Amino acid sequence: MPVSSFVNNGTVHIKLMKSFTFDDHEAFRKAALKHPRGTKFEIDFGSIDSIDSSSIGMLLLLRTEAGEEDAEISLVNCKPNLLKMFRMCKFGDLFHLS
Amino acid sequence: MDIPLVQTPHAVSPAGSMAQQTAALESGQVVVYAFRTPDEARSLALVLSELCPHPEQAKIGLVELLINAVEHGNLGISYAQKTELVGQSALSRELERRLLLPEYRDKTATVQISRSGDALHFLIQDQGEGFDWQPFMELDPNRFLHPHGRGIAWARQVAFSLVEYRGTGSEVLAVVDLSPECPPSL
Repeated sequence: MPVSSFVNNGTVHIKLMKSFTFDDHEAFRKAALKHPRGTKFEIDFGSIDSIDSSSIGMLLLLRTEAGEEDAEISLVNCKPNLLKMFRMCKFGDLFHLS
Repeated sequence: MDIPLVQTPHAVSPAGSMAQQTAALESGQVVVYAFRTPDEARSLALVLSELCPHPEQAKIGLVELLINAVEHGNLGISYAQKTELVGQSALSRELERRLLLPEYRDKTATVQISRSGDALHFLIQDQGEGFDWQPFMELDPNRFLHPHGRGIAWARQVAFSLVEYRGTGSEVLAVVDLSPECPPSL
């Protein structure tokens, strides 16, 4: 299972396992895109070494579903190379990165 | 010049494939793979990345360029169509549908790999009509909310020392620096 998730205090916590590429999108979609608008998300990238550009699209889709400007989505435990890739895409303006 | 043609990365065992490729490249030969589907493109990118000094970042760039050759090249998915399909979570279904259509099902893309000094060249060609590639060479702030459209710029920044589209855009050369002093970009 490439994705695990649980809800705690109104925040959906999603942990990505090993990879987050096109092949993992279906599991991510099932875990993330079923919650009402306004839901807060925390996505744990601690096990992820790299992503592809389609995954950027998946995160933007989640942001849209979660309320766009009002969305509260944190991408946490990102490794330095991943932070670099997110910042290339100006994700610091859209998500909480750490 | 001998040009071995391997139809897909599954045609030979990974170990044999890598040994074959390395020996062929070091002797100045060109290695050519053909691929047709997104899954073949991803598998091939994984295999080819192992030829590079930093496989993880090479894989990122190769996936982007090989997938583009299938999606936008051979299967003719436009930028606007992809935006709509991604938004509807319908891209995979549409790609599978097009792969079966008479106008697309015989189209293949190829990647030619050759070594030149301290550089590894990947020449990717598709049988599509090409596209206006210039806007996609850099990450465009005006597109930063779009759910796709970053792959080429990303490949340039992360994986390759050079990405050069040719002609109408149905051919792209990507170069990996093999020199020992070339550090990882990530």
